[in-house]
Amino acid sequence: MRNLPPSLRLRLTGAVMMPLAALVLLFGIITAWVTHDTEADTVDRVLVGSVRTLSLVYNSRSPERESLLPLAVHLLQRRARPVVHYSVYRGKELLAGDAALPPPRDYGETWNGVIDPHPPATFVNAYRANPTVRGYLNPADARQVTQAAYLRDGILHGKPARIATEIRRPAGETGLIVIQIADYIDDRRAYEHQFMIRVLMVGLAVLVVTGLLFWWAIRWGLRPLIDLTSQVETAQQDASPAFRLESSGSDPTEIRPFVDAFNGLMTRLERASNSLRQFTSNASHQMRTPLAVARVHLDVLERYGPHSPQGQAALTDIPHAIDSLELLLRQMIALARSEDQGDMQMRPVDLAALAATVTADRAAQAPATLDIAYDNRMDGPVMALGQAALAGELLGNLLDNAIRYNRPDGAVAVSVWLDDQEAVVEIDDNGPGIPPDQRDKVWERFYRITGRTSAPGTGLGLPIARALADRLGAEIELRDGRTGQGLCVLIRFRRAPA
Amino acid sequence: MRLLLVEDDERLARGMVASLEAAGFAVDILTTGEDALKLADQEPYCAIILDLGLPDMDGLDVLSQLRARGAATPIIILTARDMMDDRIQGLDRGADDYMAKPFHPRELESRIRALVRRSQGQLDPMLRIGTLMFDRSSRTVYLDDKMLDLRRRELAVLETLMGRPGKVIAKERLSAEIFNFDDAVTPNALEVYVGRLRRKLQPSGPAIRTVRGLGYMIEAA
Repeated sequence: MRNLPPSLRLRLTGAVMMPLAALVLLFGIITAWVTHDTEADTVDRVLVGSVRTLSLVYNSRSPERESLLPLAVHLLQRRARPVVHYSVYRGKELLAGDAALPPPRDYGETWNGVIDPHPPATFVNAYRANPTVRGYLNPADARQVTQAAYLRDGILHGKPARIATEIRRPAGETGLIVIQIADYIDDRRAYEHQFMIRVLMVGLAVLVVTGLLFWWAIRWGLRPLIDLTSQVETAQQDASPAFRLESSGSDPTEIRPFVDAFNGLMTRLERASNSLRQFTSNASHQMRTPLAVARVHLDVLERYGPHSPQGQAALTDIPHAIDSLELLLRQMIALARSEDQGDMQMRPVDLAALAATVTADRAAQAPATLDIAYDNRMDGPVMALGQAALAGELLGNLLDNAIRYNRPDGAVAVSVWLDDQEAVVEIDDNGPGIPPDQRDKVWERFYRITGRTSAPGTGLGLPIARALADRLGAEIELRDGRTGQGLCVLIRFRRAPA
Repeated sequence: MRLLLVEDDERLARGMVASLEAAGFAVDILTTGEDALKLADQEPYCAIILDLGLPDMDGLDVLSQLRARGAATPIIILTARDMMDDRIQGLDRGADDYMAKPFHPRELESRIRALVRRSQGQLDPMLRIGTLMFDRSSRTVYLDDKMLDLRRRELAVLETLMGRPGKVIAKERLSAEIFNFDDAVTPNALEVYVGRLRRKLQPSGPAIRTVRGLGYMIEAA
């Protein structure tokens, strides 16, 4: 059973059928017990009633007695449940009936006057409230009874039997007689078994029909799932991230959360897929121009030769094109990597020291005509939360922009300070700046500022910076340059807890 | 033949000009759509090469506007966008041909030549007058089956004259088709080239006649 794939139908059917089977079993057991009890009760009543009937015969004197006895026996034997086995003993003398039904062992010739040493048989009479005295309606009938009818188990002809016994003094005599009527337990049992088998059959039939009904009911109940499944299967043939599960109004409430969650996932998948597609198309687009440059200039080299002026121009233009391609490739990889990775550990970083290092490094490589300055307004460490390597890359990236897109005699000022909540690095330049209406768009990949499409760069620098800032939990703000021209970039980091 | 190249990437433009000049074209460069709209009609360009990725406006809009005002010059579009929809859009909006970057410069030239032939109604790439044969594709000239050694400008002049045999072409027109903006042209330059051509075409080639005050003409046959 463990190797079968789990089946919802089996689960549900089992969940319902097993308690049901248990109930049916319980019901069967109760029925069997009730049957047995009722049957035993019935037989006992018959026995006791019959023994009293016979006993009453001896309440009359002879010779009525002699004619009443066969009549009573005759009547008893003609019933639907005939009484066949009876005996009447006086002492050891059999007066009537079957000798094989001897008196009980504790029956003696002389009676020591105890009335009812065995408790008489009693029955629950719910509907009839007739008062009886020791089993007899007429108390006079009971006066001569020393032992009212009681029931015992005994053996008759070697088989177990139920025996009703009554002991009385016959009218006009002094001795005691014992009247007994017996019924084989086997007979009773056979009756019970028949009844129980019928009940069992009904129970089984109920279980089987219920099981089948339930099985089909489940299939009907699970139909919305089948419909959803077929939707997905159809979609598989033409898989597209635009696929959504359609939920109709008749979908059960239990499925809606699943459908909604699935559609939400597909939406995110579609967005990611679109973003990737756009990125790939943009990237391939960006690469085509440097490739075209290289190809054209190679043709020029071929036609004019390397020593012609055109050839010489080609020999400088081709390496530039290759450089552009390389830069583009590197930046695309950087962008992909900066967006890709999961959470990372944020640690306290001294922004002041970091900014100082980065500035010094870039200043050394920048043209000497540029005026690059660094200022830490706090006169001490400026602790922010982040990661040193990434933060350094971010600052370097933005500082590179300030230097590269600047005039030859321009100026770049780097400042660091602490706020209430934030640690801030500011990079201020007086280059061409970014027009305010384009300050939102520059974060888009491959966006070039209008009029500056042929400036060096790939259009990926700021998107990479933004991705780095997002990972560091930092924000970048673009403002007008503090000198009135150029650009002022503010990078706000989270302050490290003290 | 004079071409207008509208392309904002300097390096690419430089390379393309060098390549096209080697193929015998005179090329002017413009870097914005505005400029292209202003100047496309000013000179007798035999074809315009239009890059779609211009800094100030979409090349397709330049194309539409040129066609809308009746410009009949063949236009070939150059662009890094290479999806089929882009091609269809370019051609539907009036381009005569479409080349995606990166392209092979030789292919570009051939396509330009094909467009020019079609627009001038000369389907045969070979120009013939008598035993003088000008193969426009390979830029070679044969007289009596012998190849003539002609310089670039001489080829250009001969090609223009042979394009309209028996018709007078004004001097200014001839100049405009052979020199681009940046060529420093002395007033006599054209005469010098025509003179050289005449010499090389003798004795069995067609004569080039000067019609004073009007221009030049090559005899039809």
